[in-house]
Amino acid sequence: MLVLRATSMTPTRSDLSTDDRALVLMARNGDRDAFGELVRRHQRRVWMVCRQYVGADEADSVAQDSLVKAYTKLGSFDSRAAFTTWITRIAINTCLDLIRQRKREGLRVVAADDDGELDVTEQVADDEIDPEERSMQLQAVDRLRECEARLPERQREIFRLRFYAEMDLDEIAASLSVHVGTVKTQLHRAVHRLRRELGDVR
Amino acid sequence: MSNHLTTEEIATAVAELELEAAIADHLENCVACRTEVADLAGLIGDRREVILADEPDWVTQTEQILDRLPTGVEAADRQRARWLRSVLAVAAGLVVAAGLGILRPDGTVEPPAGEPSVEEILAEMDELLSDDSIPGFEIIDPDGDELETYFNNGAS
Repeated sequence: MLVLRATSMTPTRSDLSTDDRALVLMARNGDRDAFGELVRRHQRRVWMVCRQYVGADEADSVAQDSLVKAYTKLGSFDSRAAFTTWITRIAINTCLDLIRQRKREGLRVVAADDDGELDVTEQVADDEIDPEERSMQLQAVDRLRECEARLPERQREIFRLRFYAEMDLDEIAASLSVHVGTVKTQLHRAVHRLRRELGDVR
Repeated sequence: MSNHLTTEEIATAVAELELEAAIADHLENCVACRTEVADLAGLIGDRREVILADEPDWVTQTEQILDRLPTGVEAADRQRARWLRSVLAVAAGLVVAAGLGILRPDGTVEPPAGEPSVEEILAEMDELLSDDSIPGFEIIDPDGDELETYFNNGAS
């Protein structure tokens, strides 16, 4: 009797451990551990993206919503694309949906630029820095936050995706469905404007 | 390049965009400009650290996400429910249509009361078109001869 081993159809975790696409394939077939691995790989990025759009209070829950939504939409993932870009796009859309929904309800989503980050100064205590220097450092960070808040929306969005979510230019372009040249221009304008407004930063 | 970099050039360097060779050279050799770039980049990094101070416990976050995932059975149930809803909606429509006497046994649809049927509308249109007395209309080629000649010439 001829026995066929369907190794190519059902890849094991060991030979696919480093590849997002393989994990997606396994997750599509109901492997929750594979999806868990995808979550572990990408949740920080997703959270950071959500944090930029909906603020600290809602970032955790919206990031969770985004990842659960991604799981239910795995069937529509085009394996030619990068999973990280796809998931980022879902996160951005989830945030924008929430913002729109809140607007319809007459509520306001606390944006990342005015959620009182200065209150978390204790969380960034660094024993190696003397208190006066640390105080100046935090004041500078707060000035940056204020200047950021005054940036045009698109510039602010791209600036934050680049520096806080640490996305590269191509990823930002793909996630926002804009040309990479637009990303470069807006990013440069944002940094230039911040530089002018901040003056001497240290 | 003897002068220091402009704020635009500093911004280009901070944003890690492509630098012209002359600017890159200057930056490599000028401590003041390099410090300026490093200071702004450092400040942005500090702000990122402040933001990251809010980050959740990732292990708990992962567990909560996995707990919320629909199981395979749930997903299949949802898909089945979607199909069932569609089928039921169509079936309900047919039942209502049959109940109201709109659906005929041959599959055609009875027009609403007071409205002419499709056959009646077509007959009315035929009658209208065959009426030579309608002002503004004139039959210019009752036998179609001119049209035929035109097409034949075009073909030859």
